[in-house]
Amino acid sequence: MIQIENLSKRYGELEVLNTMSLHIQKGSIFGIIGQSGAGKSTLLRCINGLETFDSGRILVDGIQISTGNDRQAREARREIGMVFQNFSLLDRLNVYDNVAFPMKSWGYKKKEIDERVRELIGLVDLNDKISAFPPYLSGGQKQRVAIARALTMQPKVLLCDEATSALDPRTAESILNLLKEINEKTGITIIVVAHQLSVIRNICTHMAILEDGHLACHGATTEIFMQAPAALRRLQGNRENHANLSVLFCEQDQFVFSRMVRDLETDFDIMDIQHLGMGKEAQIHYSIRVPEEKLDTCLSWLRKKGIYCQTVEKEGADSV
Amino acid sequence: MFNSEFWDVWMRYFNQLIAPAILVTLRLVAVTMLICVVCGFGLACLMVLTHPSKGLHPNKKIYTPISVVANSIRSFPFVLLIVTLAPITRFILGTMIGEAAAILPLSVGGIPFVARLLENAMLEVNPQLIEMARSFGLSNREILVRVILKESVPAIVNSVTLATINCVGSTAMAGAVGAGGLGSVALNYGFYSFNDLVLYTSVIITLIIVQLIQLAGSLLYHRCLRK
Repeated sequence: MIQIENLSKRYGELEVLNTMSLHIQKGSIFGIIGQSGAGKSTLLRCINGLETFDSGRILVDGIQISTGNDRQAREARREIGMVFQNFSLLDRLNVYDNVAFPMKSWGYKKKEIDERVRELIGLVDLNDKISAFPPYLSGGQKQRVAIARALTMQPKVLLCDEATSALDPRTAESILNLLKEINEKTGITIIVVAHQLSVIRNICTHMAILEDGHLACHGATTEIFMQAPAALRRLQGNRENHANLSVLFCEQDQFVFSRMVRDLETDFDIMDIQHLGMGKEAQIHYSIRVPEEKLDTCLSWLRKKGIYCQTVEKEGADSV
Repeated sequence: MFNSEFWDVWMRYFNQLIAPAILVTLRLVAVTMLICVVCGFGLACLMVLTHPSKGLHPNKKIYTPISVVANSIRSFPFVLLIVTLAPITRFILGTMIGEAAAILPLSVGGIPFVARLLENAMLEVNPQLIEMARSFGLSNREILVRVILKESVPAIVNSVTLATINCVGSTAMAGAVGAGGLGSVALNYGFYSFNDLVLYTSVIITLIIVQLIQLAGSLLYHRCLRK
């Protein structure tokens, strides 16, 4: 779906992106995370041609992306919707006209615009605010308008640049829920850039960690959390990892550890718990510590129960 | 002091001298501002397009000459601009005095001022909005019209109000060198003739005109804030 090949960009001496290659699958929600200045926003902006790059190329559905002002480049950009951290709504237009903005600019027919805009405003649940002006909306409502606007041109990809960073945690969660819902309903590929791990944990099926313009690791979110590579641990605040076992199961699986303890007569400590995903598919990832001599028996006991688990490498390799 | 005799004299001055001068001033301001806004707006759009750092399509070769010329003209004290342009005015219009002859220097002085004001107003538009529009694949022309112009309408209204008031001042100065209007009446029939009545009446009327322009501008500004 999105093919990034050997992408490089530098500002003078500073290497913002260093020969980055990444493949993003159709229909996935892909999270890009990293410290400030790691190049994640730059990467995102390269994907829809807002930013130039020095070498490499980006293909979206086989079409090459560029920053040009010519019609071909602009039409390629139209296939990619974008949601911004600060909403970027036009203050002098009401909700309806803000959502209609891209279609009006591309000269769609009035009737077509009206149908699409009303449908999308319904989708983001803002029917009662349809003629309100942005200064009178809350942050969450503004971002809903921006999401509706980003979807008007029926893009194949939706890019979210820190879309929830300016929102309080509850509002942020409702926005993430909305994104997930849209992904499930329409199958649109969503790329989320965030600096909060919670955003990635909640909705992303796949993720990549950037460090100083390098791709530190990437893969399925559950895999990354299971293997806890050094890049992930650095992101979590470089905590020392005393856990030796990584376990992942659904909320429906009951009393897993207490049964394991009874069966194997072992002790264990829970070092860390992370929720992955939201709603019905939510999974919980445990980092636990069991006595070294019991590690193998615990591992085979858990596997026999069909529970996904693996040992944690002490100083894990960076690659996944 | 303000007896009926005073008002009789005042009415005579007003009807024969000041009222026609008010019309001249208003006409001068209106025509000059029309020319300035049309030309200044075009130049401002060009400058916003080509601005070296914030422009939609940065182009120093176009921006720098416009900017330098605009700055040079604006650095002229207006009285000197009138006399400097006098030979050109005479060449084009055949005369150096009168309304038509005043409009030329007024416009030459006003266009760069308006252009600069409008350019600043348009550059104030949040660059994130421009980026947003670009992400939807809008062309530079569309961005200029649908984002920059649309969002800066209130600021443009303010700038035009400011420029219009400035123009009233310049008109008075043009009056000093033969353009007619309130400024000319205040100076020639008031100040130089030791006629305080004419002088202060003209001054007060000029003041009222400026206040009315500001009032109209403010009303329009608040109207524009929302759509």
